[in-house]
Amino acid sequence: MNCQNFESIVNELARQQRLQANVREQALAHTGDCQMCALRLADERALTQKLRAVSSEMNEMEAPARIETELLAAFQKQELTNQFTRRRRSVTHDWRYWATAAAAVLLIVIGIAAMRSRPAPVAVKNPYVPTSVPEVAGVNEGVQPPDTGDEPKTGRVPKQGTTLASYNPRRYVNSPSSRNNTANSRSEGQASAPDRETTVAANYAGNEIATDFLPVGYTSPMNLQDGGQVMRVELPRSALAGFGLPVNMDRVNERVKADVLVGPDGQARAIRFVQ
Amino acid sequence: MKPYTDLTDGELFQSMLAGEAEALTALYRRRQGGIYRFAVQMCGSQALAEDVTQEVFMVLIRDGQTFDPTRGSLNAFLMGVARNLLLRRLQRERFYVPMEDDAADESTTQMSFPATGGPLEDLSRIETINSVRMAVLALPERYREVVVLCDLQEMSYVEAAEVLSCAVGTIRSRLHRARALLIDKLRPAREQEAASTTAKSARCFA
Repeated sequence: MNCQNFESIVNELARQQRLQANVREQALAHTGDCQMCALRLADERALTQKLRAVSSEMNEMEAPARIETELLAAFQKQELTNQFTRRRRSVTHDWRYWATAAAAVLLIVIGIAAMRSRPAPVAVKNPYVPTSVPEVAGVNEGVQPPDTGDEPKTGRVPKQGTTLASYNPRRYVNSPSSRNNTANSRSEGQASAPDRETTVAANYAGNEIATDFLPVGYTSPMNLQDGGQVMRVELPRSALAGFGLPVNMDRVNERVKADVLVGPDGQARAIRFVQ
Repeated sequence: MKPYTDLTDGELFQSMLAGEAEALTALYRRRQGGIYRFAVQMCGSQALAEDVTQEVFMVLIRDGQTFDPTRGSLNAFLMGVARNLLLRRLQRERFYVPMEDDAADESTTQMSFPATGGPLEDLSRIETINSVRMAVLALPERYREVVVLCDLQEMSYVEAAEVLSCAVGTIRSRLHRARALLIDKLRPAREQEAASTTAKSARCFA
């Protein structure tokens, strides 16, 4: 054993800790050869002796008895508080349980009542002249691009007695009498629910099939709320392509009917194609 | 049912949590001495040690649920709490300097120990004990706590590592360093002078 190894175990040796028997013998043999290590071990042993003397002198020291009394008082107080809290928690828990159950039952009853009291859909019997600005693609609804065929995708007029609820409200058919109506009543903004209902009903009236209104140029959708007039015009079929609609090239020379929404300033704001 | 003195720390602790005051009493009587001595040896103040001992058991009463038996023994937990409280108090009181009258009354430096032999022998023994205590108190905290735990409280390295929440190797190396510092501090002044002279002359001749 060299001095470095001895230094690493000198504490255990001096404190008489557990060491392997051969390591202890080698360390003790080393102290016979090395005076410095022998002195080091002597110092460590002296220190151990002094520390043990201190330890044994202080071994009987204890905390004063008043601490025990104070702790017991605090413990009993804590226990009382705990018991009170536990009891209160259980009462609160019961109350919350019943309140939650009652709320759940109430919600179910309200839900069932609401479902039963839901109004039946109104059947459309007579066409009605629309007095409002028709909905324009990009403003209220999206454009319905045609998927097949050369004609614009359109809706059909519902039969008499067909309910609005079962009809797709995104497709419109106007009656002839609705074409030239001033479209400013909707611009007042707050159309009531019955008004809206009759307007939609009017759009389905008649026997023409029309596309949604498509904005013309870069008109802001807000301008459409200013009112205006709807005018029936005829356009070359190729005009369909300008609005992204498919054109049947065999009938490209024919003309198509269209309704143009003209604003108060005389400029066209929107257009829809009619068949 | 077994008497409380025969129950383990864990059993006493469970009974205490169930609301048995006797269990707390038994646990306190079993463990308060070690905690109090640890505090006195760490800070040298009996008043502070009393406060810390009381606070440790108050923590056990209030927040006993935080003790996790899988992480160590209850004794290690209590000692760890005591150590944290002590270090916090010492940190807080570092900036205060005791007044002279208080310092004279303070029991930090001189403690009375019972006489066991002749007057001269007692005097020498008490002087030695006080000098060792002062040397231990003068150590940096991280060295002081390992000396107190391993040498004065006679804990094993593993137990000390549980209390200090560090590795056993750390305890060994700190103890080694702490004992070397203590030997230096306790070496008589004449020997220190001789040692320094020897070192100087050795350096000259080298």
